[in-house]
Amino acid sequence: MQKHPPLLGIALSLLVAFAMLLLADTGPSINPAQGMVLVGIGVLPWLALTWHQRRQRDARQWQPRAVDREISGLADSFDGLLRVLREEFDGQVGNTQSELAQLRTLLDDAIHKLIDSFTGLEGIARRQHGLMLQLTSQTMGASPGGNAGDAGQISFEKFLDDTSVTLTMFVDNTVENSKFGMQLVGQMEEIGEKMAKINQILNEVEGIASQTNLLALNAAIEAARAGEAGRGFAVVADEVRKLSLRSNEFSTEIRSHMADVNQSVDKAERVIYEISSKDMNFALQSKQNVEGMITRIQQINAAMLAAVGQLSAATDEVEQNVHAAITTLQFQDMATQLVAHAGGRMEIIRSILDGIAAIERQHQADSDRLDRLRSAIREMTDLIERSRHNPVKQVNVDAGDIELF
Amino acid sequence: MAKTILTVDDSASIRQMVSFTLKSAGYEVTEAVDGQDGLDKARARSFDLVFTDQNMPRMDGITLIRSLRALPQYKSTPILMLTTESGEAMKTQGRAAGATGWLVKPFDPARLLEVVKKVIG
Repeated sequence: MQKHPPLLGIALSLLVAFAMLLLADTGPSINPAQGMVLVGIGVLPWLALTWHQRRQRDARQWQPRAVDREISGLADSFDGLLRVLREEFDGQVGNTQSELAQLRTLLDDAIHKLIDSFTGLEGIARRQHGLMLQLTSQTMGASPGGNAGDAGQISFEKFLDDTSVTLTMFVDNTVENSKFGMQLVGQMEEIGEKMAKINQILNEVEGIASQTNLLALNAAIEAARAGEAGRGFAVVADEVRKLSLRSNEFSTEIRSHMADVNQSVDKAERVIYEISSKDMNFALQSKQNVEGMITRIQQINAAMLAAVGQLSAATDEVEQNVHAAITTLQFQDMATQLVAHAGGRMEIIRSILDGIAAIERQHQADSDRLDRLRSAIREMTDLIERSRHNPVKQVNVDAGDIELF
Repeated sequence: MAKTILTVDDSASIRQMVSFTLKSAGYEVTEAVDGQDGLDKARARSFDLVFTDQNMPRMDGITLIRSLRALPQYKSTPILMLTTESGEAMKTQGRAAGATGWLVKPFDPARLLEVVKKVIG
């Protein structure tokens, strides 16, 4: 109908005219004027149809222009919105990147301080351990760099052994001397006993002298009774009596000396006994005391060694913990890379938006604008591809793998 | 005489931690802030071992390894990658460039020292 409107209009008009002629045939006859009117009536639908079709055509010709205006308005609005969006997005991206940079700075600062703290802590633990070793080494007489578990300990043990040996020798000698003293006391007692026997013998001697004196006296009496004949015998008897008296005096003198000697021996015996018993008691007591001291020093030594061992273990633990902290603190490196990567992604998005917004509508046909957009996206492809590579795959801070080629 | 080690990383905290770990074990450590800085310092003097990160400004780790291997004094020097990168493709690139080994961060100081002892004694 739209393809052949004139033919259809003519056909319709002829059909109306023919119908009217048929009506005229069946009714009264018509004149030429009436015929013209009838033809005119037949042509009217054609004219009406033609006018309608022209209006439709005109409407169709005017419609694209209205759409264009509408599209143009929409495009202007879209461009306006895009500009607003880009400005807003620029602001957001700028602020986000600024905040990410602030985060990196904060992380850097915190991590450096934490590392300083942890490494300082380990340094202090090591110095503490070194000082303890130095202290124990000096106490034990070993070199400061020596290990308390070997050279220092041997030196100190040797010192204790030497002390113990020296003391034992001293005590043994003292005990031996005391034994000699006691033997001397025994010998003194033997001397006393022998002197007692001498005294007994002296008693015998004094008894003999007394009997001799008595005999001499009897002999003198007998000599006197014999008169002149016994005069010589009286002299002999008198001399014998004098000898017995002198013998008695000697005996007394010997007894006196013997008593002095006995007294001296008793005194010496007491002194020797006293010295011997005192030396032995003192030596035994000293030995006991020193042995107690050595035992105590050995206990202190063992306690010190145990403390050094514990301190050493504690230092190792501190070191291990610091190592664990160092491993964990490396999250900052990963976090920084991820933050930078995220920042890069935002930068790409902004670049794409900038590219889109930079395509000026008024200078480009619609098809050109699309081409420009595609071109802008292609230009971003490299950046987009790179952004797909995340440099950090780790999802925890466990130590990573090690591979030697 | 202490063995010398160059550690190249753009992260100051990682440099600090690597240096602390190695110095505690008696090694002499020099730090470089990126691949180019590492290359400059490696040219200025020789090192017994080089640690390098991969992702750094100016010059990345694999490029640094290639550059070092091109220097006669670093033909056989152990160079270890110390990086967050753990992909096989990247490791293959590193190995092809001449890396001696690949250590994925975070590193454990004790294990790091074990590797160093194994590599340079």
